[in-house]
Amino acid sequence: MDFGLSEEQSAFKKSVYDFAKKELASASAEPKTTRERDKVGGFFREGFDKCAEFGILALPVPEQYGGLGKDVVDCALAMQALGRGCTDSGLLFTISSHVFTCEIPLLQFGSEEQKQRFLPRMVKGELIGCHAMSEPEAGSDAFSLTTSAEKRGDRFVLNGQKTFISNAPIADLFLVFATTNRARGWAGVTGFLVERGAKGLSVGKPLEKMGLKTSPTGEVVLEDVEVPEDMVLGRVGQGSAIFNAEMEWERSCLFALHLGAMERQLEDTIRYAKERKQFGQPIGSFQAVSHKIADMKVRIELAELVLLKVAWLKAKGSRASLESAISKLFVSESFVQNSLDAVQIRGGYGYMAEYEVERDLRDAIGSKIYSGTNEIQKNIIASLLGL
Amino acid sequence: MTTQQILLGYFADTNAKAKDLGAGDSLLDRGLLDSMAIVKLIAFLEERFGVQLGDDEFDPDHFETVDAIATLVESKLGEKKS
Ligand SMILES: Cc1cc2nc3c(=O)[nH]c(=O)nc-3n(C[C@H](O)[C@H](O)[C@H](O)COP(=O)(O)OP(=O)(O)OC[C@H]3O[C@@H](n4cnc5c(N)ncnc54)[C@H](O)[C@@H]3O)c2cc1C
Repeated sequence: MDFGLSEEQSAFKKSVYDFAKKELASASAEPKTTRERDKVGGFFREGFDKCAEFGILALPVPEQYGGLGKDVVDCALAMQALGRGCTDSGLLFTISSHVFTCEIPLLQFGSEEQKQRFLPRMVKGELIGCHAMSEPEAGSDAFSLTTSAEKRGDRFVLNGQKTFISNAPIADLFLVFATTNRARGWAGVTGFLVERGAKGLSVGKPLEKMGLKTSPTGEVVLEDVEVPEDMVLGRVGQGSAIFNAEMEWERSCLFALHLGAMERQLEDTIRYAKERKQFGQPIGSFQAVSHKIADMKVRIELAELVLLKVAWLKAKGSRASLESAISKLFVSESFVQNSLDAVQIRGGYGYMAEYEVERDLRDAIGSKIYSGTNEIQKNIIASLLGL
Repeated sequence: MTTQQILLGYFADTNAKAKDLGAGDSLLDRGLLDSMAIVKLIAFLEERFGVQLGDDEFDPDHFETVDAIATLVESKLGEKKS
């Protein structure tokens, strides 16, 4: 077993980190900083475009569609480096939704025509993608969705409502899941590609959230939206296959961002614990503090192992249902706990927005909910253990 | 044992409603294959038969009946041999 990265992988990871540190630190116009954007819920479009230029949106896409053709391991490494180098977790969350829940399904299930039509523009950041599965009454039980797709002649007519959709307010391309036959449950779910501007498609105002405020989230309403047959993604009834496949990608690559964010937190926290003095000594010399930091490091180390294992399994073509559920669960729980510890170690300063630690905590909590809640991950793990 | 028999055994072991299941019965209509059950079934197929299913093979048509699953498994085993 080889746990090391190749020279090429290390150099690539470093180049992504250097890019993020330098280019994503500040915008050229107001609101400039992550903290300012967090306050007003501003999307860092300039940062998104810079990521497109650097090739982040192109990572897993083959060269023939303008991409870099990187495998899952390299994608996860790039996300880890971005998470460490960039404090705007909302921007990175938007990028992850775009790449892993819209480009990836297109790549894996799209027709040649669909790939040619959308991928080159998505890679350049000209089109932003979103993934519309959740509904007001269908969250964890995603395949109980009621958005309907009725076949009429050479098209489908979509009706229904989606909620909590990342990127919806800024998206140009909507991957919408709807059922062609409710009686068939998961087997009736089908993916449709719908473009902004389609008659009957509307997006609500951005939803106000606890964290990830710089990643716009919204509702999507579909009223008699006509979708031509050639905009079905994959085959009719293949929606659950699309969803499960992309979730495995998301559970490794999106959560690699959180691993990177935890590394950033740890570095900052160690520095703080060495500098901050109380009772005449650095607080890091108190075991109560240093043990918290040791625990943070242990979680990071284990999170990295479990996450890269999923990426490695996927890169060699294996399914990773169990491992990706374990990884999603562990990384998100670790991210929340490490964020809490980072706040606690800074005392009152950690609680104040100015010190930018409380934002990580607010951003982290969502990770226990999206990509399938942690309770659902435990159900998957238990079920795959035969329970 | 045939592939069908192995699969019927799997369903009988994992779901009390599958005791009298026939190889041509619709698994969906009988409520034997919800979204979690299919993930479990795929894990079983990969382990028991040593086949790897591609993401795009995870298609309802292949899982309609035990016969359909057996056909999929046998075609995958055939691919492996050739
Ligand atoms: C920041 C953010 C971004 C998101 N982005 C998207 C997106 O881009 N696209 C999209 O489609 N969706 C998105 N979602 C929605 C997300 O997928 C759902 O919120 C999630 O699946 C949970 O569904 P729910 O909110 O309806 O909660 P519910 O399913 O109602 O769950 C409520 C609680 O009950 C628990 N629970 C439910 N069922 C079980 C069970 N069987 N066993 C044990 N516990 C259970 C849950 O774990 C949870 O704690 C996003 C959510 C967030 C927070």
